[in-house]
Amino acid sequence: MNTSPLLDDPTRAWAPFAPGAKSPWNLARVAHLHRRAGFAAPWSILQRDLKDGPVASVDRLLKGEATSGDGQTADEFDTLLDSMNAGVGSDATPTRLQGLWIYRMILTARPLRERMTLFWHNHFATSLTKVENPVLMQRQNDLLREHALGNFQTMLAVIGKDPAMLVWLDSTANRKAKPNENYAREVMELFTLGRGRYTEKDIQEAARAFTGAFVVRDRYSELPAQHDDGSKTIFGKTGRFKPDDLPGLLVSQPACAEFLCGKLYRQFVSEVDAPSPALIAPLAKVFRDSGYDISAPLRTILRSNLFFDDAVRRRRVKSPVDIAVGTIRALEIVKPTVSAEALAESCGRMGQTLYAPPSVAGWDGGTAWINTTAMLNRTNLALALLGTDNAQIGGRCDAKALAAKHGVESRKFYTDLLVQDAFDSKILGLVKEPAEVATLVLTTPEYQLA
Amino acid sequence: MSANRRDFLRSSLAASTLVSMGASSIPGFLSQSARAASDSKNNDKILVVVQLIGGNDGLNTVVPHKLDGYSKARRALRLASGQIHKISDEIGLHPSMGEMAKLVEAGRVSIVQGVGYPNPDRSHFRSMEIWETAKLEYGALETGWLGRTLDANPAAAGSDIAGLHVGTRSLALALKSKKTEVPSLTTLEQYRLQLGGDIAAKREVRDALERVARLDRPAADPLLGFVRRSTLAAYDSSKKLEQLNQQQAGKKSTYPDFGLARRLELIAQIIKAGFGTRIYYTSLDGFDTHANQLGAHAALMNQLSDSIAAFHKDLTNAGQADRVALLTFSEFGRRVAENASAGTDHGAAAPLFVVGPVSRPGLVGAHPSFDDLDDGDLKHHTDFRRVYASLLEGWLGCPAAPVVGAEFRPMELFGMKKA
Repeated sequence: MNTSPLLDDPTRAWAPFAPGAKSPWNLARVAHLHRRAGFAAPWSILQRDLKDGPVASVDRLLKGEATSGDGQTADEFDTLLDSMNAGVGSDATPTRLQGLWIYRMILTARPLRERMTLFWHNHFATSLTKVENPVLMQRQNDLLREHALGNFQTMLAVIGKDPAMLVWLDSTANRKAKPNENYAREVMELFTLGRGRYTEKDIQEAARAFTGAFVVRDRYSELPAQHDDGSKTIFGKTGRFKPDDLPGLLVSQPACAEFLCGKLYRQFVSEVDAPSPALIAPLAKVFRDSGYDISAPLRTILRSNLFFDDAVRRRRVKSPVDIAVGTIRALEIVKPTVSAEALAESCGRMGQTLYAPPSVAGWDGGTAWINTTAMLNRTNLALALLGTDNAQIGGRCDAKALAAKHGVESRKFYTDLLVQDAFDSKILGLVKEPAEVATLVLTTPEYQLA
Repeated sequence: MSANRRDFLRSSLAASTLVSMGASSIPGFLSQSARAASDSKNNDKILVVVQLIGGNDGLNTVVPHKLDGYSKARRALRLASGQIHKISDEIGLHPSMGEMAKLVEAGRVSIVQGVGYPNPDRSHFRSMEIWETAKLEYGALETGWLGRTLDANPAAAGSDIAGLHVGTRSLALALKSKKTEVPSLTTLEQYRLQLGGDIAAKREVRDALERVARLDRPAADPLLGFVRRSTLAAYDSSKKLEQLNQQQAGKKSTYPDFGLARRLELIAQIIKAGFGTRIYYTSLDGFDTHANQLGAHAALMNQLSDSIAAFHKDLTNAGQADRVALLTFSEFGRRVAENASAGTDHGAAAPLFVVGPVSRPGLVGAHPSFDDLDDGDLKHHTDFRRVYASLLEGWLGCPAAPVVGAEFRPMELFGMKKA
């Protein structure tokens, strides 16, 4: 197993990647960028970015593409999807919610924003199974998307008033006489600082500051009569803190930027090797210096030497959503695309039910995605997509026509499109039939890694 | 054979040739598989839980037909002594439970009487929550008792899932876990590779998939190796199920035509295929018998009894019956007195069944007294969490205290071998 010397050299690790003889800008790097920062990309985008180089490619991911996968402008597509989200009613089924999101992930012109929306769903993990209100869950999803690449302090403030979150954490009635510590605890432990970076006293005092925060008829409101307006001491600072003061107090803790950058590292660089504090420190500094602009450390990561280092490629296990959405995008199954709701159900069978993470800590990810049932369902998804038996998701991919359209022999095409340098197309043996070639590549262990 | 199929076949050969020419030797994947590792553990016991939804009438299941209290309280619903399958002088099983009675006779069933919990709640919803979470506190709904068991005893990463829900209902709260998503399955299809074409085509496709997964990779990458082992274990499991299916093709199912029987048959198939899954959960609905109970309840008793007996027989024939314990439970029993609609209303304590290689066959514990009722309901003398503790500690070999609380000592049901 090769590890990178960059892991011990933070300065060089985060310096901007410049292609060289030993590390050329090649298809493996382009595809890696799209796998991590988005949900994989079709052949034409890979080829375009191969020509345009790393700077333009990363910038385009940060800014978004001009058009969505169905040919609309980026804004037209977002407007359409936003109005569909706004149409979610109290009778919407879980698969309806999941399907709407999956559909957006497949066709969006802003894959990095969707990637981060999913990241925040896992970070501020809230489940419909307890909230039981699809409208509130959809609103939370809209909030996560709105702030996905925005300011973290603002996002924290918005989440602290999000009815779905407060229902989820049993914090819908924060009475003066009986401060509820649940939100205060989770916000410190899971959302901002991590264990051991706060005291029980900090939690109790923060809970007092949060009194008066209520959810009334599905809306957040503050009831002054229920607010404890006495003096509190949180993280060594004393004041008559209110709910609105908490986000500022939290992000002022140095541990906050370190904690979040550690999670970004796991998401974008590697979930196998735990980073050293020295490696995270420069990222955290960028984050703090930007005033908690989420895109600042992201920009550093996505442009870095370390991100494009051979040794961090395929150091993550693709989540079920990565597999489902990424495969559809890479294979250009967009007109018509598959039933997004059927695809969402397939994600559930592979172990990731959107809007229903197992706990407030989110999905464990990594090797926890892998078990025999999940692997069978991954293979079954590939068989269904490339076959014609499944009416909801099959019969929409002409593997032969796709390779022909791009003028590449099918074994080379599906290897380059889906796994690039991970293996030699020779291992496919003599299989030539394009649908079978694609199926084989999709079911390799290599394809399960990101 | 189509050209495509031939390609697949040849690819398998090509792939295996490539392997044999590879510089590094192929590790013994199958012997290294997580399943093999879990098989070698001492305890490979399996627990199957059958939830009877709606509140089963314990008095007309394990019937105290010779006790005065019974005949006084039950007029329209009284089961005549002559039809009851005798267990003791005073107590016997419902007339429709002949198959279950044979299992009792054979020493394979413990009937734990008077099971419940303090301050019983008569709401279906709330009482199910209590039974499924094994916690009496309101709002303690984060995890179920089996979910906590899975959290404390996770399956080796990459191996077979540790718990499985069988049926179309949404996942039982009992299986809710913090760390794993327990899959729900309704048909074996979800547990099998869905290959198209005829049998030969299927075999070729699967062989090709397997060969490509099995190929040795040049770089020794632990993450990749791990994914590959799990993929191969998955194909292996699927193959076993297919073989099993082929063996059974054309043969008439030995199970009666009941929903519960089909679900138990599916569980038996998975067990017989050698999966490492140790906790299975399924349910039978329809026990909320407020009116005209007699016929409906008899049909349910028949379904329960015949289905469990068929399951037990199937496992016995496969040499697996001593690895499997089955627990039935319901959220509550029903009131002692029948109501005016020839039915019964929500009650409290009731008996439950533990089927398997039990050390205390027959009745366990006394029948709750008819002279000491709690607002018209039987009082429990055995907390259900002691039964759970016994299944955890005495059967599955996992510490029970972290799951149900240290105050609930396991009752002896399996011969308490201390680990």
